[in-house]
Parts: sequence; structure tokens; C-alpha cells
Amino acid sequence: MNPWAVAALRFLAALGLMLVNGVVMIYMLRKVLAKLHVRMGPMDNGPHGMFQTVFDVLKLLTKEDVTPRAVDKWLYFLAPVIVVVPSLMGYMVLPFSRTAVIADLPYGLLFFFAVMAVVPLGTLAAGWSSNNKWSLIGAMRIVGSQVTYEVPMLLAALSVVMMAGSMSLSDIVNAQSGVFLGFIPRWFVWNVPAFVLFFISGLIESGQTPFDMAEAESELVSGFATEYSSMKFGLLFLSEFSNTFLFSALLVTLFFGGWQIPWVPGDLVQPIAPFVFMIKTYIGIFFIMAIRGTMPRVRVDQMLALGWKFLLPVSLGWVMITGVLIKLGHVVVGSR
Amino acid sequence: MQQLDTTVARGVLERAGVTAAVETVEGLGAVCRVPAAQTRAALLALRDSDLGFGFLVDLFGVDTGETIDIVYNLRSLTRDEELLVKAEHGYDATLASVWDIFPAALMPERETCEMFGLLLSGHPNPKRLLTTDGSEPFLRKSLEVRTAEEVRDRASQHVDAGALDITASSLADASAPAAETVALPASLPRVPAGVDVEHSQNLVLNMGPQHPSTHGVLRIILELDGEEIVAGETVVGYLHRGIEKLAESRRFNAVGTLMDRGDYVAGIHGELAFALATEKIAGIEVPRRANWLRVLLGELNRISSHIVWYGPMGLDSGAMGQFLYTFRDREALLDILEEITGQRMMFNYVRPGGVVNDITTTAEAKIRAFLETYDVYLEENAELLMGNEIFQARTRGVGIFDRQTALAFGLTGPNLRASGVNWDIRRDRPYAAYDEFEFDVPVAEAGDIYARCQVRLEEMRQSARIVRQCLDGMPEGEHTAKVAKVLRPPAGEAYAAVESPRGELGVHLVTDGSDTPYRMRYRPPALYALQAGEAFLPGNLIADGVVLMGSVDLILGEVDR
Amino acid sequence: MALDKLTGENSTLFIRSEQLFDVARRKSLWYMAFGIACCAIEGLMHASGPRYDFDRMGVFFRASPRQADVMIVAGTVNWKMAATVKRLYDEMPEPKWVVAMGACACAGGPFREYPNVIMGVDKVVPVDVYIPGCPPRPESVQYGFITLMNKIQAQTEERLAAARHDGS
Repeated sequence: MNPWAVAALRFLAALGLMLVNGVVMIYMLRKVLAKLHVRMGPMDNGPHGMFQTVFDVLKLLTKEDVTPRAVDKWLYFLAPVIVVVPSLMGYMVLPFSRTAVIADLPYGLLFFFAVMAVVPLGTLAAGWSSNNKWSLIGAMRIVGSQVTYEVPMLLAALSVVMMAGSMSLSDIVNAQSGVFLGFIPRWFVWNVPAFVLFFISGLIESGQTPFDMAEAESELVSGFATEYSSMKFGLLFLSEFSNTFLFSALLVTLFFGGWQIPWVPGDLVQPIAPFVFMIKTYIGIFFIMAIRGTMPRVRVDQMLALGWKFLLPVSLGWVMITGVLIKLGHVVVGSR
Repeated sequence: MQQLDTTVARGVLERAGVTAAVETVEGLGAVCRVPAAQTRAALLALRDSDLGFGFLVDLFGVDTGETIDIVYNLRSLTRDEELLVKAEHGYDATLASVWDIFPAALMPERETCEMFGLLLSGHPNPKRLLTTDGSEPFLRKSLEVRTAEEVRDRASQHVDAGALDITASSLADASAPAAETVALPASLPRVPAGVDVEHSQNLVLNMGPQHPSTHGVLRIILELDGEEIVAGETVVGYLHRGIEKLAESRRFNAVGTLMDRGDYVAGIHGELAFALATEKIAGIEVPRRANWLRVLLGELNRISSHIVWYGPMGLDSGAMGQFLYTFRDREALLDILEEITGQRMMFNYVRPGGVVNDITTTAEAKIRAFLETYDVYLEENAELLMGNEIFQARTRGVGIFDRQTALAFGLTGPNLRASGVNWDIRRDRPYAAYDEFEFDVPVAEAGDIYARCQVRLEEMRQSARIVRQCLDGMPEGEHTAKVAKVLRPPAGEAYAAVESPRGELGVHLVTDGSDTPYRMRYRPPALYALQAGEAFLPGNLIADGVVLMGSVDLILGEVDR
Repeated sequence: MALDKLTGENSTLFIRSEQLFDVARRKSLWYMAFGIACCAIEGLMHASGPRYDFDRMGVFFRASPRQADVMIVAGTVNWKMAATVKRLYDEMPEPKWVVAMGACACAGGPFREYPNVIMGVDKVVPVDVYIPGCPPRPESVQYGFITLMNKIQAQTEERLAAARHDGS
């Protein structure tokens, strides 16, 4: 087939996945929170409220798009774009199966992190251009926190890279095939410190409680999105869920074997591999939402202190220790 | 309570050079009249002498028709004595602020001056508190409320929505001489002079009045250096509805409806304070069963009020879950209250003479069922939020009111007990059968936000204990005394206080022999808590400031009345 | 959406799209809680609580007026509050509705005699649904919202009927 057509189809698939994810995740969030909170969540609009998000999106499409007079016009319009596009690009490198990767880059992980690093710029642009002190404080908090936690996240992922021997996400998934001792899957989650570091840093990067101070509803009204209405708000809202999906997907890819099912040979899994991947990712999302509905929020300075004074040295140390362990006994080496 | 020896007080005042008249009034206690110009000297002498009147319970005004009496209700915690100091002012006088002697006077003075049309001198932030410019001095007797015809003709009230002005300017009297100030409590971060919005060099941020976490229509203006609060000012009055003024035109058994809507989550306590004050003046003896019923519902109301505080406390720190779990428990409580009083919220249950209905056996069964599950749920909710490390890291050591400050700012209730002062009106000035019950009064030493949370949670457990004793030992009898349909108490004056979930809810009632009160003053514990919270905002981060204002348990209906 | 300018007010596309959007608007009402007073506890906190869950109908709470469709005015409006009410109403994007909850917001309530109180919030902003009560039970508030949803549906049909009538 014409390579341009193939690329266009792949792009549309990623876009479609992102939008469908957004719709499903918003509904899932409301239902999960409701069940945790002894309520019912959306019930009236569709069987068990399944069409609720569709109606939400349609309503947002037709709201009046208010542009306050004093905003910085170009940045105000561009900010949702800067936030959503890198999120979309993150979908390109996720391995849904052995062959179903939109762009199987040999440095996929690095591409992913590079692209996700642009998102804080977008939220800063949104907060700054709104010409609203609340949005500004929300934006400053994001920049502070996300810049802080990019490094421990990268370093935690680095120890995984060392174990797999490659930066390509497909290779990392393949390195987790097989079992130890006959029944324990060779997942990288057994590298618990790396998992914990990555999980905490990722919660911050995707802006989830207990670190959601960017949109700390009880403090900052709506944080950086206070002045946004209609579809621009919809895009900002969508990007938050999209980032959460990407974080969970990366968690599954790096630590839980990606599209693989333990004890089942890879070839057998291939036809349903994308579904396995999505199910695993959604289990991760479920846990993140459960945490969101329960835990209180960490204060900004406490979170920054945690990042700089604890996570950064620990992640550096753990990278060194992982290297030493790999060299010493090839204890955690992958299939290479 | 000890009776103040008036000769000792007279001696103290004479030594300070104040010409005062101290006497004991039947039903009210010791009253001291001082000339307006010597008020500061008198209060200073009373505070610093052996009499130790260091706690300002309330400050308010009464329009007697010829003068405006400013009343200072003082209490000595060391000697367990009370004293009312009254100073007569003319209609256009200037009130000399006593905020440096009693920092608790900060907001009540502003309110008294705007409500009676006086000027204020020597005050760091002498702005109007509750009303906007152009408002009449509402509490003066010369000002009438709307007539029934005006109210019926609703269409004739015109509001130009585009030209609403909410400036509240200063009531300062520039010509008054500056008085020498007295030393302030050491822990006060800065003089609470408010935020200068126009000239500030820092970021000035406005929270509210529409804000998810300000617990009602409270507006907080913050001057920020980064995320740290440099100065803070609270603006109230968005819910000022004239409870005190409207009480002057309602019959005595209808004032309860107004008190319900003051502190609207603890309606029973507001009604009870007013009923007690009326009963003191009218000499009504309340039957024992009625008192036990008052205790029963008061304690149930205390639990439901603390739930309304505890849920949003978690929400302020971001934890949504336990907010909804506590509301599930509150629904069960409201079912019980509805069964007994007929209403979920505005009970209108406690009237002068007793209570309106007796409890039914279904209500009793429901209460027992509730208590069974409640013990478990309370511990769960406590563990969920209080046991959480993130919450503890945010609340331990934050927002500390030390003992001296708490007393100086007139804090009462759980806020005071969390700072180490063991004072509870149910035990120390018993009312309505509380002396027949066995309960502990929780006191904490730390004075931080976590301590206040601990004290309130323990109070909820103790309330459950009292409710059990109440059900087990309920005496037979009438649920109300025989009271005239239209009550006309003799002319008199009385102060009655109850321990509401927020602190000392007091009603100072002045009657003139007619069927409506002459003046009703509602002492709002939340107002004193608010000004203490406001004074201690500087030095905290925004997030801590929000949690601090939540931890002092504000209900704006009470603050604004 | 400016479909009517492209295709004309009588086109089936415009009519059907408006019907669809109005369905979406009434099934996804986001409210900005303006809990001024006692009604806030009953009608906002309890109505969204475990027993009377508002989220079943798709109604939930947004803090910022720019993301809300409905403003629930729950409590007494006095002169000081009125300026804020008006300003928040102006900040909300169209289409927007106002629900006056409680006797105070409808007509001044038990405090209507006090000169500082405005006798009803409809003197400041246009009100679509009045919910009487002091305070109204959470079920009353939900019924008020259902009334609002029916009103939106009725308005669709009125608007389309008017457009069709003009064309023919």
C-alpha cells in the first residue's frame, strides 16, 4: 500500500484511540468514584449511563466559546493544542502487539519522554495566557512539579532499559517473556524500587491525586483551566485523561510485560494482543482512579522536597545498583 | 460560677482612676457602668489586676433610645467570675478600640460601629464588616424593617443589577487622638491591618466568595510572596440577613426560626440559647424530661454538625472519599431528627418552656440502631483521614494557636480546648440537665490543626456516649412547661450560653415587657474563630491557609447573621 | 453552532442537529454551585451525596463558572452578594440557566423584611426554575432539575416550531 496512506491510517487509528479512550475513561472515572463513594454514578443516560460522556462532549461542542478580553490571544488558543498534540504523539510508540506498533522506533522510550516533556509547557501557556492569578499559580505548580519529577521517572525507566538492553518499547516487552523458576513471569516489576519510583513520578507527571495540585479543585477553583470554556476546555480535560492512559500504558509496557499473558506463548497471544494490552492498561487506570478517590493531596513544597531530596538521589543510586547487579550476576537480564 | 465581689471590683477601678458604678443585677450578674472616655482604662485595669478578667466573651451595642450602650462581657477563667462593663455613647460618638487589650474585639467593634452608626478610632482595619457603603445603621431603633405591605409588593423593589457597589469603606475617625497601645500577644505574626489591594507590591489573590472550599460565602484576600501568605484579610457580610434586627419583631416562640438559620448546621443549640435566655427573664421552670430531650437532640445535632465539618475538612486536603462516607452517616442522623422534629434542618423544636414534641418509640429504636453502626463508621472515618500520613504531614505543626493567643482572641469550644484550655460550658456552667450526665471533655495541648481534629472526633464519641445515657435514663414527665401562647416576659436582661459545636453560642436578651424582644444579641463563636484564623494566615502557604480556615469550623450564617 | 446561517433555519440538518444538541444539553447539566447559605447543605451537599446522588442524571459540580451550564443560587441574596451573583452569571457561557433554590432566592424568604436583603434573585439575574422550601429537600432540588430538563426540551420544540412557522 501507499506508505502515505498507511501512515495516515495509523495516525487516524491513534487519534481514534485517544478520543475513544477519553470517552471511556471519563465514564469510568465517574463510575469508579461513585462506587467507591457508595453512590451510583451516571445511570439515566443510556444503560448504566454509558452514553453520558457522549452527551458531555456534544454539550461541550455547542457551548459558547468565551474568550476573555484580557487574555494573551495566541497563547490562549495554542495552549490546548500544545497540551494535546504531544499526548497524541505518545501513542505512536506503544506496542499493542508484536507487529501493531504505529512507529517502532529503536529509541521509543526516549521519544516518549521527550514528547511528554512538552506537555508542561502547554499547561504553563494555558495558565499564563489566561491572565488569571489562579491559573497562574496552578501553572507554576505544574512546571515546578513536573520538571522535578521528570528526572526520577527517567532514571527509573533507565534501570528497566538496562535490564532489557534496549530503548525500543517492543524490545522491552519481548525481554519480559518467559518465566523464572518455572512459574514466575519475567516481568520487570520484580525490580520493585524502579517500579515504585516510576509509579510515584508518573502519578505526578499525569497530574493525579495525591499530586493533583495543578487542578486542586478545592484550592484553585479549576487551576490552569479556570478561564477555558467549551471545546478548549474539552481538549484540556481530554489531555489529562490521555496522559493518564499513556502513563498506565507505559507502566504496563515497562513493568508488566506489555501485551503478553504469562505462561501463554507469544504467538498464541498475537491475535488478541491489543485487547490484552488494553485490559492491563485499564486495570492500572482503575488503581490510579481508586487512589484518586481516597487519598488527600500532598502540599506543593512537601512534594517538591520529596522529589529533590529523596526520589532523585534514590533513583540515581538505584541506577548504579542495578548496573552493578546486572554486571555481577546477570540476575535480571532479558532475552538478549 | 463565683459571684464577683463588687467592692473588690470598685476598688480596682478606683485605683485606676476610673469613676465606675458596680452593682449586682438580679438574673444578670455583676454589671459595671463606666463613662465612655474611661473604657480603655477600666478594661485594662480589670484585665491586669488580680481579678484577671482576661477573656472577652462578647462586645456589642444596645440602643436604649437615648444613648447607645456598648457592652463588654468579660470573664475571668482563673476565678470563674463574669462581669458586664457598659459604656454609654451618644448617637454620633466615636468608639475607642480596645483591640490591643482584647484582640477578640477586632471584628465585633467594626460590626457594632456600622450597625449603630458610630465611628471607630485606634483600630488597625476600621472598615465596615457586614454591610456596604450607603447602608443605614440597621440596629438603631429609629430604623424600621420593611412593612407587610412593602413585602407583599415585591415587584416594586428595584435592583439595578449593573450598578451594584460593594465598597466597604473605613469608619475611622481621623480626628480622634491616638491612644497608647498595649503589648500584643507574642505569637501574632503581624498587626491585622488587612491587605492594601492598590498599593501592594506582592501578588494579591482573591479567594471567594464563590469558592469550592471557603465553607460558605467567605472572601479571603491574600497577599502572596510566591506561595507564602504575607498578609490576609477576610471579607464577610455576604450573608448578612439581619437575624438580630428581625428578632425584635418576632414573638418569643418564633425567634427560634431565626436562630435555626444562624448556625444552620447546629440549629438546636441556637434555639436552646435563646430559650434559656427567655426562661431566665420570664422565670419559667422547664420540666426534667424536657431538659433531657434538649440534651438528646443537642448531642445528636453536635454529631451531625461535626460531620459537616469533618467531611469538607477532608475535601480541603483533597480526599473525596471520606466526605461522602460521612454524609452517608449524616443521612441516618437526619432521618432521626426528621422523625422527632419533622424537619431535616430547621427544627424549630426547642421553645421557651420546653420542646415541641416528645420522642416516639420509633425514634428511639432508630437512634439505637444508628448508634450501633455509628461506632464502627466513626472509627473507620477517623482512620481513613486522620490516620493518613499525607494528612498528618499537612496538619501537624501547622496553624498553631497557643494558649495565650486562643484566650486573647476569644476562642471557645473545640478551638480553645485544642490549645490546652480546659473549658466546656456543659460542665462548667451546666444548663439543661448536663450536670446529670457523665462525659469526658477532650483537651489537646498542641493547638495545631491536627489537635483540633482530634478534639472534635473525640467529642463525637463522647456525644454518642451521652446519647446512650439519655435513652437509658430518660425520665417520665412533660415535654414542656405550661407557657402562654403569646409570651410576655417582664422587662429585664439576661445572658445565656450553650456549648454549640463551634464554641460558646450566647444570647444576650433585653426585654421591655412586650411580646417581642427589645434587643437580641447572638454571640457567634464562629466570628471569633474567623478573626483568629485571619490573624494567623501570614506565614502559611496557600494550601495551609485553606486548611487552617477549614479547621476552625466556620459557618457563615453565624458569622454574618 | 452556526449551521442555521449556512443551511437556513428550515433545513432538516439544522433542526435535527439542534434537537440532538438540546438532548445533550439537558442530559449533561453541569452546575456551578453558588451555595450562599443553609440551602447549600441540603440542596448541594446532600443532593450529591450517597442517598440522593445527582450524578445519576449526569449533573455534577464544576467549580469554575466558565465550565458550568446551570447556576444554582442557594441562599439569601443581599446587596453585597448581588454584585458577585451578577458577575458570575455574566461569566458563564451560553446556553445557561439559573435555578433559584429555596424561599430566600425565590422571594426573600424569612428575611424579606430586612432592608439589606433583596427579595429574590430574579431581580439580579433571570431565573428559569424556582424551587420553594426552607430548605427544599434534596428530592425537591432534583425535581427542580428535572423540570429544567423538561423546560429545555420544551424550548427546543418551541424554537423549531417558530422557525418552521416563519419559513412557511
